[in-house]
Amino acid sequence: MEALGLNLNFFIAQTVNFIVMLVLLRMFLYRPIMNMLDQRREKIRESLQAAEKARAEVVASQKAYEEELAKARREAQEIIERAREAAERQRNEILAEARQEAEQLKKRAQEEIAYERQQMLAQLRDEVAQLSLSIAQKVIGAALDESKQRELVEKFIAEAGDLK
Amino acid sequence: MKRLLNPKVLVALVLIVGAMVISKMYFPVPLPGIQLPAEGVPILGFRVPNTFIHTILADITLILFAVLATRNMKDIPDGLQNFAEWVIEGFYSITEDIAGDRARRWFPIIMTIFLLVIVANWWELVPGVDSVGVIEAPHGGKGYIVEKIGPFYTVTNEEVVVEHYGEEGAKEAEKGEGGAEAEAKEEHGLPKTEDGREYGVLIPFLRASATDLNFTLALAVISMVLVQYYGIQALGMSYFSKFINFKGGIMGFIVGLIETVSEVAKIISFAFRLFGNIFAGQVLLFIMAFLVPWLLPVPFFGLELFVGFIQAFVFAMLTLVFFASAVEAHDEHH
Repeated sequence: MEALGLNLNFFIAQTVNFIVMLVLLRMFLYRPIMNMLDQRREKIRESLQAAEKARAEVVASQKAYEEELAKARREAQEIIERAREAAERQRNEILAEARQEAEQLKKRAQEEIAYERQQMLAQLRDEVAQLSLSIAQKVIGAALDESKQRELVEKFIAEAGDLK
Repeated sequence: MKRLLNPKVLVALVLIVGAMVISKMYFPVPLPGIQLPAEGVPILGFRVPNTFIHTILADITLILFAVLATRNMKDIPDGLQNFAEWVIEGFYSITEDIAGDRARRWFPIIMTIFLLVIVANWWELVPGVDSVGVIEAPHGGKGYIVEKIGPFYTVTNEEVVVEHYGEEGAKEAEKGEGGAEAEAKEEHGLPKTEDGREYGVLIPFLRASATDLNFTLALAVISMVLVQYYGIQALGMSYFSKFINFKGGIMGFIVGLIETVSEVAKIISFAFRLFGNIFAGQVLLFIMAFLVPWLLPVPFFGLELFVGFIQAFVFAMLTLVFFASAVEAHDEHH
């Protein structure tokens, strides 16, 4: 033992030294450093969580924005569609109306023409009757009384009218 | 081959060899007396082993490191704090891998073993350790001729064989030397050779802690006592069934005996592994410096840096593994 340098006092001294160092290093090195590491770990976790949350928020708001945009676009499309439809309808309406009016105008004009013609024919008939009467009177010279003559002329004219 | 014969390489080689030869011729280094027990440095009338002073130096280094590293803790670490965090976190994660839930309890012990051993080991490599001290009269064996350099004294590599052994023998030798020498002796208490030159041995102030069995054995005993403590704490009285085992018949009993012996053997292997490696490293450095004082020892310093780390790591890791195996129930195989 002596030859190996073993000595109870020095052995105890080294043992005590180790225990003292254990306590001191625990107090001044391990505890502060471990606390620091734990604290930092906590902090990093927190900030990672916050970042994750912020990212989720950004994604959500982006989505909302896009939805809003799509909705607006859809609405605009709808409005345009509706306006086009309305314009189309209006055009058709106007066209129909115009056509109808033209039709009416034409009809009225035709009616008027027909009426006038009728009028003219009646007048002509009258005049022819008058004229033929006076001619006949002149020719025959009052051989017939006036009423009998008129009857004859009218018969004649009616036959002529049927022939027409 | 062409690269090796480059003129630059040749010049470097010549310079290296030249430096080695010059150092061997003009700056010889004595081969110190190699002894197992630590030399006692006389302090206030006590003989304090230089290995213990070395341990205190390692303690101071560690405390200083701890205080400086944790003095101004920052969230974004730099400098020493960063280094301390790196070491501690790295070691803690290793401890956690092996110890699991018990890491918080065991970590300080494992870490302290590692730090104390590595710092003590690495201090050995600092110039001045093992080489600065007081010169004393040899107590026996060999002495060295002492020369004065400025205000300091140095031992040369000229050996003087001391015929008389022990303190009294040295005194007898001094008595026989007469007046003039006695005056010189009173100056610094060294004996003289017949031709009037002083001789003595160097007692270094510092010597690597692990070259003293008291240090390594203290750590080994602490480690193994804690192994038993944690084993009992985890398993209660059933922990002892590992050592005294009647259930497994005669074979089980013998296995128990072997377990008991191996617990003691672990202490011894712990103590001597660390002691042997560091002591051998110290002797290696002495011999290399003695053979060629300049440049040759450099690679060996690198080697010892590595050995110092490995031994500290091995000591801490083995302690951890023994802790872990002690808390495991060992009667599963019945």
